[in-house]
Amino acid sequence: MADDLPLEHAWPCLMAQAQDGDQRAYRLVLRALVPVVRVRVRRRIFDDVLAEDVVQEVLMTIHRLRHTYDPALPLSPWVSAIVSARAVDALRRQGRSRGREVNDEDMLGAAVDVGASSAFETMATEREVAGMLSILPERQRQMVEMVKLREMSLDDAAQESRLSISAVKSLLHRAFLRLREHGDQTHG
Amino acid sequence: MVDHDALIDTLCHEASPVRRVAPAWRRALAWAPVALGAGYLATQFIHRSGTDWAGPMAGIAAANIALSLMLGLAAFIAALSVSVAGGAARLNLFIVAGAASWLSLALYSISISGHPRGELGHGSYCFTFVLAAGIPMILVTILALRRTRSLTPVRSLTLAGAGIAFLSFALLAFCHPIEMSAMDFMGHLGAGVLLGAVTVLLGRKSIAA
Repeated sequence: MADDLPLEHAWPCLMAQAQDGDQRAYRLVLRALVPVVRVRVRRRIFDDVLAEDVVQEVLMTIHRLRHTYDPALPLSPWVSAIVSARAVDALRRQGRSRGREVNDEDMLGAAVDVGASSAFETMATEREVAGMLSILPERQRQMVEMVKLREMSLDDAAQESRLSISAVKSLLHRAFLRLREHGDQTHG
Repeated sequence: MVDHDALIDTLCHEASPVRRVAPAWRRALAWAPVALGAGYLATQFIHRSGTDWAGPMAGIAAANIALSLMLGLAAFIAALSVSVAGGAARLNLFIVAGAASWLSLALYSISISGHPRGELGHGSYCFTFVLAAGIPMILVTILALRRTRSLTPVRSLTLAGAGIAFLSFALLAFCHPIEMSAMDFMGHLGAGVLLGAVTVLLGRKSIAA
């Protein structure tokens, strides 16, 4: 399969054809870019799951910004700038979410209302859901939370996360696959 | 390793023909007159006294206008250039020399003033004028930057804000005495910095790629 991929000197021409609406050329150049993007992302991000998420975001950004590429110039610097920006965004988001996490078990225990025993069942369910969601990368978890837990429409979720509807669908699809795999592993 | 073919298929399916963006300098030349026109119209509601073009110092005013326009346009080109992935803002010798000349002219205008230091509140008219001229330019600039969006919105908007400030200074120079006090000059700069900050705040989300 890799032998079918176009060489780097052909990318600008293929991208120019893609800008003109040639879907075959677009597919070829995107598929050729995936391994290059992956290598560049992994130079910055060591978490495999997060790295693959960033690869996906890079592909979506390339799609949104494809009209800004000048075919007279090489494609690599343009793609590198996108990779760099998306990797930095992902690392920032990861840093922010880690900063929000609470690890003080004593404080959490003290905060529990002892009169709320009737709600234990609900809490157990919530904990189970939270546990399941915690295996997901941040973007996928956000999408599941928005669409399934907060019952937002795909349109609203796409708007809030500034992604296209197809990107939201793709993130959800990958999240469910991952959850199913996790379920199979845990329950045999 | 994750297979991204499903996503690629979706993206290809959505891939309609797109209109390529023109080079930054050409887009800046198209948008700058729109921004200047909007700024000019906005200042029509403010009292204006014309520059004395027959006076001995008219050359200073003309040089000030030319330098402000040039710097404004250069910053605008840089903003549009940086907004494209992989684009760079080239701060060449020409621009550095222009900025140094603009500052020298301002210092000269202060030095020939009867009250070089000025008084508190002295530059309030100029401050209002620069803001009135710059605010519609902000909207025009954000509209221009939305075409490409930006991977580094704060950087693009900071450069755009500098461009807006200089274009506003150019409009101000048409109705400003040649002499000015330091306080007046600080008012000009303060308004310019405020325009830059408002540009970043207003545009950060709407132009982010």
